[in-house]
Amino acid sequence: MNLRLLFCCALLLYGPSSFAATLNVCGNCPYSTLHAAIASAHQHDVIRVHPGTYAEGMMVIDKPLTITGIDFPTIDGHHEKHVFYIRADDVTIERLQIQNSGQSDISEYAGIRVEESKRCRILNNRFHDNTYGIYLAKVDTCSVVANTVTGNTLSEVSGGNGLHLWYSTHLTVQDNLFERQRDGMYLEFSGDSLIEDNISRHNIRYGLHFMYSQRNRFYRNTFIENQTGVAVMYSHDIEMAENRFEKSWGATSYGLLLKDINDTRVVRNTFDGNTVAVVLDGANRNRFEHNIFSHNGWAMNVFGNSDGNVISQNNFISNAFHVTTNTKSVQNIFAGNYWDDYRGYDLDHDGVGDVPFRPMKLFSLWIAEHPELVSLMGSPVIEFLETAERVFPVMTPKMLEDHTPQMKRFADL
Amino acid sequence: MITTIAKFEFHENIRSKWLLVYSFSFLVFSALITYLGQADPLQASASLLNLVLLLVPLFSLIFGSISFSESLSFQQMLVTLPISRRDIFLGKWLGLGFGLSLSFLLGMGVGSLLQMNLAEHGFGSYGLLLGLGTLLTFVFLSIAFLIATLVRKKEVLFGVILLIWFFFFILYDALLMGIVVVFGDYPLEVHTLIAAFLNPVDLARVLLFLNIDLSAMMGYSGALFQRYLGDTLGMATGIAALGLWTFIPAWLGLRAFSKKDL
Repeated sequence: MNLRLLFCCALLLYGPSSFAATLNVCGNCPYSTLHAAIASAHQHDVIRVHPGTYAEGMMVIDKPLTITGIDFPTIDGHHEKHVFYIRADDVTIERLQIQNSGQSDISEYAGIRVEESKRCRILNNRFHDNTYGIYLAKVDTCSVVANTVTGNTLSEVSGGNGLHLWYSTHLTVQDNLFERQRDGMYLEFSGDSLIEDNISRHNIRYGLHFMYSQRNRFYRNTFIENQTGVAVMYSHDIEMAENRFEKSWGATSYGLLLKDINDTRVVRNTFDGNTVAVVLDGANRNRFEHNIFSHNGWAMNVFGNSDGNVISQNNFISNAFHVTTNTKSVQNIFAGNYWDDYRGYDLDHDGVGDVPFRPMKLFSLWIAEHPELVSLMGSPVIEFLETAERVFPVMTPKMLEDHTPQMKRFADL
Repeated sequence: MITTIAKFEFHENIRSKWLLVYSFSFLVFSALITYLGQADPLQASASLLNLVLLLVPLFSLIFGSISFSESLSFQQMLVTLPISRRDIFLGKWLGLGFGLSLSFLLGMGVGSLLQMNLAEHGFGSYGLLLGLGTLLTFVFLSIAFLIATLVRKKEVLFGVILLIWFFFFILYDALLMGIVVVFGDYPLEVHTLIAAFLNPVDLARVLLFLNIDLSAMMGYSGALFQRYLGDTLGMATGIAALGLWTFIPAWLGLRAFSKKDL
């Protein structure tokens, strides 16, 4: 018992603040290279890197350390493996410019790779031209905050992701920018994390891509002009709120693809200017509430294998088609949404239209079955068809109905 | 000689109250559309396109055929002079065509440019819209001249002209849609691509839609359209096809006119 107490005291004395030394690295400092400083540092020391360019890659950090840059000194990996390779707990890397990691067909080289450790903090760094920007593998309780990650990815095969998470949990990813990588953010088997206020843009594949990653929360992120948008798969209990999915425009692009995603809440997001804003493919029991769908080719494409989704209180504005599906049976609930082309009336003035709205028009059904009909997009014959559907409602497919369409658009959030 | 007649026709028609009405309706409608469509530029350009596709063929057909058949007595007089029938026909065609195009460009240009933010809309697609409208003017003027040479009775002529307009504007698309829905089990991408070439109104619409990048919505079929019509070469192909649509009816009309017993 006594021995254990003594051990505890010793640990306390040896604690991070008490004996942490500061090692300076610069041209005429005691240490002229980061390698040398890391080699001589003791646990919990602080290494201060002064302005300059350091041509050093493959720095293995195997003890708790803080590496702080002054005015973003450049750490250039010269295309050799990882620039930083962290294998210890409690490592902080901040205010560095980290560039030119290696590129390989068999290994995934990164600006910073963290492996099997806890409480790492990657703050305020600038990443340039690394294959992977930040790669966390089997990591717990890390923060990745206020970094900018800019890649130069040219192909999906050789390229890497801005932020790559693998078997990592309890992470905080905040205020980062990921651009021109393969995927902006990629999560696999990584859960219970908070991902907020990030911007992911101009990536050659997905802005955000995850699989088998449960219970993550995505707040106020912006995904814009990514080649194929955002794709999330094989996960459940996700929360996505106040994100913006914008301008994924192309033959195979969508704002948000949910494939085998269950029990997820998608609320107060903005989907603007996407070819298809939301695709539900084998997605069940998800709730879409208070979202804005505007200027999309299709606002929602619900596949027949999706069941029990609730879509309510959303704004549907200026979409070429609001909803399309390839099934004839009703398995999802559309209720209380605002549809900008609703032409019903509201005699009792309760704000709810008295006539149900059918967002799925005859033409959108036909075009789902025969895509070649798209050459008639904008033809007056479609307008004619819609007028005919209003006059003879029997023509409209009945599988999708909103029984409480709103007369007024929900206020923008 | 062609130019003399063309100039005469141009001056004669540019003063006509109908061309003024034509120009004015473009001015009013395009101004209204751009004003109302400020919140939604994409929808505004689609509406402008439909305005052009509705009014240009209709007016070119009616104005062209009526003007042609009404000037028959004047043509009889011209034929007695040493002027070839080719010059009479083409001169009239050119003069009318320029008159109509000018009215269209003026009305459309003044109406929409007043309020449109070109930087936002992109000058390219707007210029393309004006260009396609001008091409369509000549296409339907040629068709009007051909029909007017073949049909002498005015009430029949008017009926045929309206039928042709109705066919190209809506009936063709309705038939196409019906065929695709009925025979949808067969791959029809190539057929719909060819079908677009066989209707100048459809061709103009598809060319403009591809240009304002609605092709993304076309998925696989769109990829086909994009491949054959999307790039500069495709645009040139489309415009050449509209050229053929102008040339062939005009040539047939000229042949009929040369042999016609005035």
